[in-house]
Amino acid sequence: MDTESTYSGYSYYSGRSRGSHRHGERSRDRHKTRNKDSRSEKSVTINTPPAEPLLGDSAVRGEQVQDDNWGETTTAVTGTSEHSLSQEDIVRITKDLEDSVGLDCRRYFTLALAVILGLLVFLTPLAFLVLPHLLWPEKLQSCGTACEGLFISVAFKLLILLLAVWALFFRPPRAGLPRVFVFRALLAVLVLLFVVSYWLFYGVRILDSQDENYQGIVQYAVSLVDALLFIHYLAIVLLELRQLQPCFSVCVTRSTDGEIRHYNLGQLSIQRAALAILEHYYCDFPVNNPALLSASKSRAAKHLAGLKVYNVDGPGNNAAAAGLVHSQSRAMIAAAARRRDTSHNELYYEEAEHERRVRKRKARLVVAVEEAFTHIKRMQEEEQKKAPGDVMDPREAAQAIFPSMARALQKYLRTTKQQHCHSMESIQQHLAFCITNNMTPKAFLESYLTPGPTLQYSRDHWRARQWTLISEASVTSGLKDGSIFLLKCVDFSLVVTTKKIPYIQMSEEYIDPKSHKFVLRLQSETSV
Amino acid sequence: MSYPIRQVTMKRHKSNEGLGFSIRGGSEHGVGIYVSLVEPGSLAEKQGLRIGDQIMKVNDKVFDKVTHAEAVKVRDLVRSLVLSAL
Repeated sequence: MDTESTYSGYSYYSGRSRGSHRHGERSRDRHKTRNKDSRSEKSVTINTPPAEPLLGDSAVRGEQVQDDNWGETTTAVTGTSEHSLSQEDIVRITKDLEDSVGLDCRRYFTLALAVILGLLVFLTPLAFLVLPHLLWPEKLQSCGTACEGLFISVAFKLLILLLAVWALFFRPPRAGLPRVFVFRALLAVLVLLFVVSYWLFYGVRILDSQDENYQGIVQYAVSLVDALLFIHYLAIVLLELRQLQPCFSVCVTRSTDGEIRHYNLGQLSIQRAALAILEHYYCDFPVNNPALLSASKSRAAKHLAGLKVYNVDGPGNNAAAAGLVHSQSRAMIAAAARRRDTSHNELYYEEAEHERRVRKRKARLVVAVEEAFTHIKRMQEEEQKKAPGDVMDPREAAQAIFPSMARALQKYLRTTKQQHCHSMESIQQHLAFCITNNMTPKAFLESYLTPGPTLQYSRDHWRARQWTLISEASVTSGLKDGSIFLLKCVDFSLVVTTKKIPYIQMSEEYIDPKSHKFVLRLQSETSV
Repeated sequence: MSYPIRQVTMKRHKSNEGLGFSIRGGSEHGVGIYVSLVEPGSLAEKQGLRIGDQIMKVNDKVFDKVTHAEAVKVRDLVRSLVLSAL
């Protein structure tokens, strides 16, 4: 259908930040169930911010979608013919556009709110100080050095507050979280209420009555700035310090190959804990290699293919169909248990053979690389001036010695099923890097012998910048003992379980240093 | 079990002469004081001490729960020994 092709085009352009629609098959049912899932399980998406500005991107995308639609389906608007874009599709497009624009709008909206609040907070003390001079200058009592001291303290405190607020709230965010950050929202509300109450007080007691005591007004402004600094201190404790003390031990399991890691986290909300876990994931977990699982999948297929059920009594009636299926599966399980299964034998010999092959290839590889490294020599400074001919920079040197080890390396990577992780370009780059830094052949080979963390590989492998957090509890609620949530990406999911670190009751016992006495177990013999 | 009990009197010719046997044991090991070595041609051999004899009383001091060090201390004052002999 025409609509199918347009959506595959759409997903091609959507690329990074719209990864949830990446796979292009946009049948209506799938979309509907996705919405239902998100409502029941509270699945929300975590977006890492892409490089280019999103508003511009979505606007361009929107136009392209429109162009594709208008180009191919001329009867789009009526919704009456079978080959047209129906109302549902239009609604879906607009909803998607709103979603994408909504996400960016939300980000810029919160940023704008924060900036306005910051300006309000910053300018309020200054306004308190300046307004009396503007409104009733002749009635004001001049105050001397005490006031000047207070002016200086206000100035410095405001400067510190400015820097501190920038450091805590306005640095570029590392990731986009699904729900609003509860503590920040609460703090913003608190600050707003505070400043509003100060303005009210100021308006009633000072502006209306046109108070002449300027020192009192200045002290009022100073008290506001002090209180703001204390609120900032509270913000630091809530946002930064509270989560530092470890309180929970989380166990993160990757669903495809069962890699398990344990981390200690403090008191965090589920979405912030998920963010912390993902940052650890990129650094600690070895890269996900789906090629390693093909063996177990083929074994599983062989188990199922071994037995077939024949219904000898002829086609039964529909009422007994469910019972029939149940008894069929039980018969299959019983037969599978009874037959002499030699698949464990095959597995054992296959694994031994594979290991032998890997070791052999590794030996060949090590020898080839060591030999290749002996072909180049670093030139010293004096030699460089003497013999300018045939001098190579690291890249050319790498390209010169690469062919002699390329075959052995490629065979080794194929045997260990890593060949898609490393491209020839990346290998040559790594070789040039090792040559520049005087590394030994063993150091060059280490990154190919063991799979490293996901960050080490090229960006193709760092595919999952779009993660979905699936949790039964609300994602802004805190971590509790026994809370379980999933972090799903395209290829696999990470299952996270939490356990509380137990309360430790410690008591003391004093040992007198003189109380250490010993006897020999051997009986001593004394002659009398 | 009870072994026959003998009383032995040791008279030393010289005050710093040894009695001629070695003892082992003590209350710190949970056992009594036993003769572990008898030097040939010594006073103890003449009196008929043998390896394995348990010293029960020395100078009317009961060697029931006495430590090895205390047993050694008594050595210089020994006039009579009561043994339980195997």
